[in-house]
Amino acid sequence: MTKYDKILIGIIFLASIAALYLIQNQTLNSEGQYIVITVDNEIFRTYSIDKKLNEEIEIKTKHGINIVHIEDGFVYMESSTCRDQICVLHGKICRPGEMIVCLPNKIVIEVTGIDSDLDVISH
Amino acid sequence: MKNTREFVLLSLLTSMALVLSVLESMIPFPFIAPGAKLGLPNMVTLAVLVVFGFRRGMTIAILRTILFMLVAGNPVGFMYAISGAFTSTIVMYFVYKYFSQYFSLIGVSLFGAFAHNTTQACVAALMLQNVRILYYLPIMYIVGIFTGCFVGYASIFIIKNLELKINLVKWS
Repeated sequence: MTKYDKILIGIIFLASIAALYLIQNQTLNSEGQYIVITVDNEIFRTYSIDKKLNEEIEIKTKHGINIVHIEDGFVYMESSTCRDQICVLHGKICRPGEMIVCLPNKIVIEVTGIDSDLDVISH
Repeated sequence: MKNTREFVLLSLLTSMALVLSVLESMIPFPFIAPGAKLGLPNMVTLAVLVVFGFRRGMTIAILRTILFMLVAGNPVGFMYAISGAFTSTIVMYFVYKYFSQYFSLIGVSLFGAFAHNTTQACVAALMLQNVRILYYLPIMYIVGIFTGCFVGYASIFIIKNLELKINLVKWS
């Protein structure tokens, strides 16, 4: 192993560590996943999913009042004035593609973005 | 290939690389990163590249990936493998030819691992239409340092013995 080999190893190692650090910082800021709340076919609000985000959103429409809660990267319908309560019973969602729908009040809560979780690992 | 001896030797080396591919696919690397491999067949590629030259080295690298696809039956993996083998062979050849006064075979092998990882990640990003796969590269580079050193050391031993056993002049 020559001197240049060691220099090469050092450069690759440091560059990789630096890149890892940068990537981690970047992905902390934006997970790439968003919560989209749609009311009456119009986008009411979007939130980027953040573990620290803890928010209660009250949505008043002519059909009724819904309270949406975002907590620890999960989103759920806390309460709704609709009669069947399917949206409340749906529970917490966090993965892209999942959605909570409240048909009587015309509210759709959707998680969009790239799914980073692995389904299967094969070698 | 005029020389029958060389022909037989290269065939043997190809089958050796194939066996190493099969062997390494049985050793999973799940604790670091899925898809990370030791790169054992690359030591055959590197040794052939040094002893027999670029054309033979490339032939063995390509043949090995095609044969491994037939054995493993994985055309998607084949796309990654052949692109990685192709670029890493070219890069290793250039580093060996023009920078061998600076780098030993370990350095050459490290460059090969680097090129292999980069191409594979780019091909994967293209095939899956997902740039985020490139985020995976730094981890692969760090793994590549260790496997590259290992492959470099191993190929030094292979070359020593290959040159002892056959009376071929070291390719320069």
